[in-house]
Amino acid sequence: MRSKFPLLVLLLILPASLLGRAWALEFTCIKNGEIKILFDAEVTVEKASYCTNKDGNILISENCHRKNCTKQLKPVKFDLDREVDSGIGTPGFTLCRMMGGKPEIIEFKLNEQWLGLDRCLFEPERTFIDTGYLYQLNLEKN
Amino acid sequence: MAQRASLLIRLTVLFTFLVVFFTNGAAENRALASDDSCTPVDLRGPKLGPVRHQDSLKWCASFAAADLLSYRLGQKISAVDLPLHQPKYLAQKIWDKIVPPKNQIKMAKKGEDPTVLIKESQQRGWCLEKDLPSEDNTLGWYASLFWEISLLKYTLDAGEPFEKERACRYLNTAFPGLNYETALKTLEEASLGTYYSALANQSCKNRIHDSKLIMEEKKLNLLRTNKEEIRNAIDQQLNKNNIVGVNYHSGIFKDSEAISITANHTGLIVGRRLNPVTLTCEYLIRNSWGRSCSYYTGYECEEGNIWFPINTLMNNLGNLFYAK
Repeated sequence: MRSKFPLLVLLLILPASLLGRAWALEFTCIKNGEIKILFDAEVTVEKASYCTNKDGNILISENCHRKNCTKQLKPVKFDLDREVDSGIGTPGFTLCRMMGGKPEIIEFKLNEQWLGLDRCLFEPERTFIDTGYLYQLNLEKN
Repeated sequence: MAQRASLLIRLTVLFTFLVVFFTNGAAENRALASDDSCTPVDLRGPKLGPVRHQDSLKWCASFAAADLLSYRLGQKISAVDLPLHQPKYLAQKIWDKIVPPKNQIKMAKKGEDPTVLIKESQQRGWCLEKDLPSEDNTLGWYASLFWEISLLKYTLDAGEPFEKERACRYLNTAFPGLNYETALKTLEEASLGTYYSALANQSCKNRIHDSKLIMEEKKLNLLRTNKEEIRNAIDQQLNKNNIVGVNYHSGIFKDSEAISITANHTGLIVGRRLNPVTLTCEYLIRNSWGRSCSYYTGYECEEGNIWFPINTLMNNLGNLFYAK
């Protein structure tokens, strides 16, 4: 048993390391949250349910988190340097459009504080993911 | 024989260049990595505010320039206003050449030199962000707002009918400080080369001026033999609590070992620290892609500001700029 202990430790660590960053993320979900978007130059506040990480810089809709919709995302070939070279602005916005979504700059409420971020909105189910996280997920799938 | 000799000479020159480039870089990297002068500096705060979001515009230079001005002037300056007076990069010039819409969008996305943007707008003054917002991408795509306004201008000039509601939406979104009638009249009366500038000037009635502002630039040479001089210049400014703009290559976002002699992106150095784990000196770069930290592989990131080892930045730096 003693001689097998290091192997046992290795077997426990290896799968965890292979799972990647997504495994390490812990989400807090807010059922009746609020999202601010600018529409026709006016601020609109909509009710939404979403999940975020402890720093509030990753955002995913609650229905996407619950259904694990990120697994269904079809990866897209996306070279960050080439896209920056060609002049596109924030890469996640272009990636969002390539994946059939609509990017929006938003603010969402967390612990009574409004935090700025963005989202890639997918119709008709209105699932959304922030475009930075979308980029990271796409990178992991490629 | 002569051909072989010529080829041999060319190969020798190329080899020498590569040796000087990489060994010089390596020697300086070692010096930079073990440097003791890395006192902590953090210039983030209310003058800069949260990291901005450049949406679908290739205007990182404008956002960096606007941030630099905001820090200097103590008021948030509009990023979008800066390039609207540079017809070289905007739809007006495109209309002159009657370029198809898809190419217009590409050209409308092209950026500008941040120092040129600041210097050329100094006499006119700088617009406040609240008068001409830079981060409203309602209707899906900020670049498309300009395209739609360009199409409207074309329609007006041709005397063709247009959808009033649609025109109102686009004009109101891009220039929310103007009522529809004023915006439409300004668009009608302005020439093809100046309509964006005219709309921006109507929006920005209370421009901020600073005639004493002088911009300084320093460039890393091709062989990178002046890295120490460049680093000293950055540190001098940080020690005076002055932020420094940098043009660099985005390859460093995913690879800390990347080396590039071209720059394709602009940001600001707003801090410095000694990394407590790696014991290397790092600069804090303020980007303009919002608060997300998901773009930056393997770096510590705080609210869209990224800590880069000095080596990594210096190996991919083009030039720097700051207000004296």
